[in-house]
Amino acid sequence: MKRFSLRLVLFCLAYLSVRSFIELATPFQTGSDHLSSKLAILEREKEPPSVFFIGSSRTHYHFNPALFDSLVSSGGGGPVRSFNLSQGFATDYESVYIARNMLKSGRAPACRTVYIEINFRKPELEWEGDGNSDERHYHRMDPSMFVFHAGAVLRAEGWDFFRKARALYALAQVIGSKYLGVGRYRNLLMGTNTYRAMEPTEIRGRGFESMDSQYARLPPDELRRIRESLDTARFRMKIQETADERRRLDTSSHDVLDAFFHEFVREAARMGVKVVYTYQPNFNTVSSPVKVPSSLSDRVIDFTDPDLFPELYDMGLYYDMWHLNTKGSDVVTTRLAEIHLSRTGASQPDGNASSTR
Amino acid sequence: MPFQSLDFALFLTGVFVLHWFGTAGDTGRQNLLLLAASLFFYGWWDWRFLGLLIGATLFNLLMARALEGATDKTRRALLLWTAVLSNLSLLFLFKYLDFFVANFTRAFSLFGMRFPVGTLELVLPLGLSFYTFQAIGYVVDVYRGRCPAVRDPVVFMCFMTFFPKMASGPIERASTLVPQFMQARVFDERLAVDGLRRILLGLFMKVVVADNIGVLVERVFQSGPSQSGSDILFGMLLKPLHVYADFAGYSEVAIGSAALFGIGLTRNFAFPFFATDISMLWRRWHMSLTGWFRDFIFMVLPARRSSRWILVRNISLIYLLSGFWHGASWNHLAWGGLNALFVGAYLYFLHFEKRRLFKHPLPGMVSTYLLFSFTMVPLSGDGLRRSVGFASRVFSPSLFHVPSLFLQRQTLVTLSFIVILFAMEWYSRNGPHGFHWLEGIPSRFSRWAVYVIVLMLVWMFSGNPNPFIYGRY
Repeated sequence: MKRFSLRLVLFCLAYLSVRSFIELATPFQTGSDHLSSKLAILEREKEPPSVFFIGSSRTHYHFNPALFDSLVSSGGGGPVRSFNLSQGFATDYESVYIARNMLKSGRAPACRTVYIEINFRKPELEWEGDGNSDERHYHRMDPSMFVFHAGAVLRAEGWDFFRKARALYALAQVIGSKYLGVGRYRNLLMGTNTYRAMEPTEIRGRGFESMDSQYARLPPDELRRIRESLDTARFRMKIQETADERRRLDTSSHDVLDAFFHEFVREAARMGVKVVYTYQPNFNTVSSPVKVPSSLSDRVIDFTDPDLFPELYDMGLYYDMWHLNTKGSDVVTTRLAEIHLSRTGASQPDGNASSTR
Repeated sequence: MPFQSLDFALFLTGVFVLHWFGTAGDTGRQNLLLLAASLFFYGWWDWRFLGLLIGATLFNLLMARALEGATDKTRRALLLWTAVLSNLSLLFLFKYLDFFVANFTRAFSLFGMRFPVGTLELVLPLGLSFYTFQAIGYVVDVYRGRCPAVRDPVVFMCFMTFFPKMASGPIERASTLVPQFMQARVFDERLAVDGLRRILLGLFMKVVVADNIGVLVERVFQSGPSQSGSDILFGMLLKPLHVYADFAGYSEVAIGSAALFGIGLTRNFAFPFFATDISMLWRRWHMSLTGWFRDFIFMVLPARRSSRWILVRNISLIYLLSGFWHGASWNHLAWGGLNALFVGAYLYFLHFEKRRLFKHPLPGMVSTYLLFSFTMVPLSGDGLRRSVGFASRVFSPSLFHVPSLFLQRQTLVTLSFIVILFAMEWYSRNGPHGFHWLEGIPSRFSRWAVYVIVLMLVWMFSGNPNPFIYGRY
């Protein structure tokens, strides 16, 4: 029995050593062809960007770097160079992971500001992500994140024993998945793209893709179906419901995520980088995000707020429930540029003041 | 708790440690632990059905005891039929009632008669088809005097609920499994190592082979019969492999997990695709079920030795029943019917005449596989009409197009996994499982290298656990 146990332990160690060796030998973006291609574009940039947009497909389709740069420059914010480093299905943790590795790896030497999309989903339930992006979520976690997360769960106030136990068990599963290699390299082996609608070859410019190119790639039937789905009373009602729901959102913030986001703000500040979190406008996840924590409010731009951004509650700006169309992207990028200017102390491009959370 | 999940890995490790370190040397406590673990495992799926499982188990325990104690022939027959019919009613209620209600109301509506009867749409409890058959087998064995009625309720509950075989078998016999729970279990390193090897093999078959084939098969049959004939034919040829790798993979994990506790379970598959005729294939496929049908149905059918025709008729009846056991649908009945037809024809025209179509085994294997693939055509669509649509599309000019799936890397990688599996099975064909060939490698380093590579592949494909196909039965 002892011999068997010893052999088993030795085998586990051998397996983990091989896994760790392979993991160390591969760059952090491995497994995400979308991110890899964006980093390749970034490397070819002659002028290193100073502003980065990082998040999910929403940020990918919403923030247009070329428009942002021209608006900031014309608004007196001086020359600025921005880059969109978002990728589909990204979770909050993953976006922070990418930002952290990008800064640490020296790929963004001139970076001064990072806009990171967050959704504030509850991490103990949302670890696994969905579908093809699972593999990335497991592997985009540093050991320091695990330690931090476990500590924050244990310290979380108002959590009963079972909630903490559940969260720690979920964390243990994620750690296990990471080190065992669950889902790792599957895309590389099978040659499958993680993003059905986001082909790396389509990314041009500075990591941004407009919805025009998305429309152009769709089969006519699907395009017609999407347009018809937006032109319904149900969608109009959904917009109204979302605005009402958003106004009375009173779910308490999530202690663990709250602390996690604060931690990255401090970490980035040590590297001379300012972090701003963004809620992206959409109509399908309003019930899952929690209220913006008051302690982070000066660090968050909440584009889902119907009082601050009423113009984004216009169905003509949407491609589907989750994403703005090209016109919507122009609107939200313009608003972001205004806020950026107001925060950096310059005048605004159109002269309007804007308040943010 | 799917076998291919981290939850199961943690659960199995925990039970293993407690079994050999916490309760070692005390068979009673070991059995109690296995029983608690089995109920926990079952409750993890849906705790509401625990009562049904425990109730059915206790009922069969008591019926078998009463049967053994009864001396009067009529009373014994009455007890036997009460037990058998009660088990079948349970199965009928959850699995077949809706099928009969829907078909009867449809049939009567043809004559203008309407019945205001609705279907129940009950959830099929996990493993019901397996544990009811196991219970029937036990009661019949006690009736026939082939095994004594179990006195210890914990042992009997372990026999009925043992977690590795709970979800989809193998369907065990009391004469082989019960004694293993009654005798002292001593840790056997060779058995445990072999168990781990079988678990790894089973996971490879399920997660790496079956799930990847499943993606391709689903792509073909979800898209409808509008696809090219060559794509549909490709899907049809992959379908048996999908079912085999999935179910045999499950069985290997079940047998391997049981071996970790010193318990041997019945072999369920014996490299069926190396069979040179359809009858041999079925003797190597889901062996615990075919054995059950042989012992409890075929052996009691009348006039089994009187004539060749009646023998073939009885065997064909078994395949029809087997089809219906797999699912309450016309598709499954048609599947059973096709197997009955082919096995019956083979026995009648070839086996009894002592004739062989091919001298070399390879053409026999290929033709058997093709025939078996054809029997699975009814299982390709939701309804029989759709399945026939698929089959008819194969015989169209588009059959000569290159299958679009061939042009994808995913397909080629999946095909290479299939080749690896078959190569392993070929070199292990005289052993009990597909990793038997590894025992011929003297270097531990080489063996471990194989295990590490296989384990990496298993974890690589195990992100979203796909349910086992036989978990539905």
